[in-house]
Amino acid sequence: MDPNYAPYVPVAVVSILVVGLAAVILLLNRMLGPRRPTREKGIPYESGVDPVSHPRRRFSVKFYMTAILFLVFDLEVVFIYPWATRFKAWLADDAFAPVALGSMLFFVLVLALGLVYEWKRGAMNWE
Amino acid sequence: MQAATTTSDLAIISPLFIVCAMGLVALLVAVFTPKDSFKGWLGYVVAFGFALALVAVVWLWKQAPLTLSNESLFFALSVDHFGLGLTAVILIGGLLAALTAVDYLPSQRSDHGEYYALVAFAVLGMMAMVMSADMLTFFVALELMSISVYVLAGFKRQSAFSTEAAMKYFVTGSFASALLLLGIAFTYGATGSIRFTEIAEALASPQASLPIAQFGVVMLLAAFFFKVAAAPFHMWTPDVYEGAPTSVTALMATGVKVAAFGGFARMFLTAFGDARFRTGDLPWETIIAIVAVASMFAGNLMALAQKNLKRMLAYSAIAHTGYIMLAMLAAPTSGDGTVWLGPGLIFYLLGYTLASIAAFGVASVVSGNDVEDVNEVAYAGLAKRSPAHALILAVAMLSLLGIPLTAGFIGKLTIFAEVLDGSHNEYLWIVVVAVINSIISAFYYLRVILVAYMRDEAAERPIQLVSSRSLTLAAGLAAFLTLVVGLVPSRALMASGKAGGSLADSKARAASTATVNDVHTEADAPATASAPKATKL
Repeated sequence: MDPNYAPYVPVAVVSILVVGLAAVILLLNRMLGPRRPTREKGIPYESGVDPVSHPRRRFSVKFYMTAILFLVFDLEVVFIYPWATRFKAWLADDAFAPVALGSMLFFVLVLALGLVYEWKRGAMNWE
Repeated sequence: MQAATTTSDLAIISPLFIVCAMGLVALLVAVFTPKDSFKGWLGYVVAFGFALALVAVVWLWKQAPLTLSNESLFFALSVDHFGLGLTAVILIGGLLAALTAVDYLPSQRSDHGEYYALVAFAVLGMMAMVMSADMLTFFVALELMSISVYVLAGFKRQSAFSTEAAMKYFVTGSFASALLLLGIAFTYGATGSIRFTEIAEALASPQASLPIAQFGVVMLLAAFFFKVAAAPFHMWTPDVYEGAPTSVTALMATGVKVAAFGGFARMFLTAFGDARFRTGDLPWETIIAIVAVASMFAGNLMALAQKNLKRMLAYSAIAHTGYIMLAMLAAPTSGDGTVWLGPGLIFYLLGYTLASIAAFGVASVVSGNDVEDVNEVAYAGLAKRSPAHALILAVAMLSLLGIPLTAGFIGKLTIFAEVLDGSHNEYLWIVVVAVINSIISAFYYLRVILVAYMRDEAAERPIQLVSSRSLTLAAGLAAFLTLVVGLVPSRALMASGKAGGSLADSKARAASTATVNDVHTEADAPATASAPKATKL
């Protein structure tokens, strides 16, 4: 075998194990488990809402706007957090400190302008 | 370190900053002005921003190749003649495309300020794409460009046609992006690097795992073919070009194509310029040659059957993709594996950009009164109604066809000469195919001129023109520049040659990175001296 593929052997082993284990469990469940199906048991959430409906059912675009807003600011934190943990170390470097601060300020400024845009366009008005 | 001889990082990336600032300004103006007020003046603002960035690019061109002192920027962007030259072409295209929209959008009842913000962000992505020197910058730039253009394609919101175009573009474009990411992942897996020059170094070493890298290259090629609309991956092009508002199509045909060709040409020639990749086990040169031939035939033969001007130009864009790809076959290699480009690719892109803007400009002019189907009825007898527009259309068609005295002719001639010289006549057959295709294309380009000049206006549906000074100015300027570049091509050719040749510096650039802090002093002298003189004709 090509030695280049050697590091991928564990991946292949795990893949086979995972698929095999899942198959064995499903198979055992099918062979050993007693089955008395009723209509109520057949639905995905036995005591929940019926999750099946028409795929083209309309729902408000507001949910979408909220999700987008959440994603944007969630990702902002993802970027700021590692930056903040390193910032103190960067402060020692006189040449790099202004770059580190400036680029993060620019990033936040662009996002803030985006927020101003959204706010003014009314994405945050629920009514 | 001599601070006097170096330009600060902020000055080097100033074109990007200017365009970004224009986009943000347009976004805020869009939301703080009354909804139904005329937004066209934002087009002038953004066009002014592009002009300002163009001035900055010319200023930087005189000092190029420039190196950024910030380490993360240094490895992400390479501000050389190649990047700056293509940025200039993109900015010219963006400037003219922004001007075409000023009065066209109100005529389509889609006059929203966000349009100009999105144009600025798309152009920002294109500029970063042709300058990018690593895979991640490349991907982020490509996505910035693509996502902005997806939205722009569906900008005429009340039209189901435009929305369908945006949806199709989005789905196929996302698929291409996924392939691109897969390609990046596989090349990273094979080489352990995302920087183009380091990938090339890793692949040159004997321990490199070539099969994995080759799989990655195939994925990258597929993404490349999607983005430039090459033949087996071109199905989205006619529908999207036809459905999108014409000013957006103009931007798609020029900026997106220039950026995709520039970015991917740099990637393939810098990272995979190795002879084993170009002509070895899995030669991307052969793949590109086959795809180029397929694109030329698919584009030209399908264009023959089109009645709609926009759809015909879409198929013609596919055919032109084929011609431009030939330039990538002709990349000369020196003994140590350094690869560069002749003037053909960049010059052709410039000529194609100018002619396309002129053609799509006239297509916008004749689609007044919310016309979506720009068929022969829309421009029959245009010469009598509006001689200036008919002349612009004629010049554009002649340049796309490649008639002497236009930029299109010099572009084709340069590329064909390069392919023959570069391959020592090995690719003679492909040049013959390209010439045959040029002859086929004469039929549908000349038919447009014939209809505009010889046929009479349909009595029951008179031509509705969008009366617009900015639109006429943009299309007229594009047509004029097409002729100027065609008549006196020497300066543009020399600049293109310098830009293409600067790709060869990437190795010198990588060699001078041992310590980033020393880069300033080193880069000024030797890098420029080693640039090969690739000018011809």
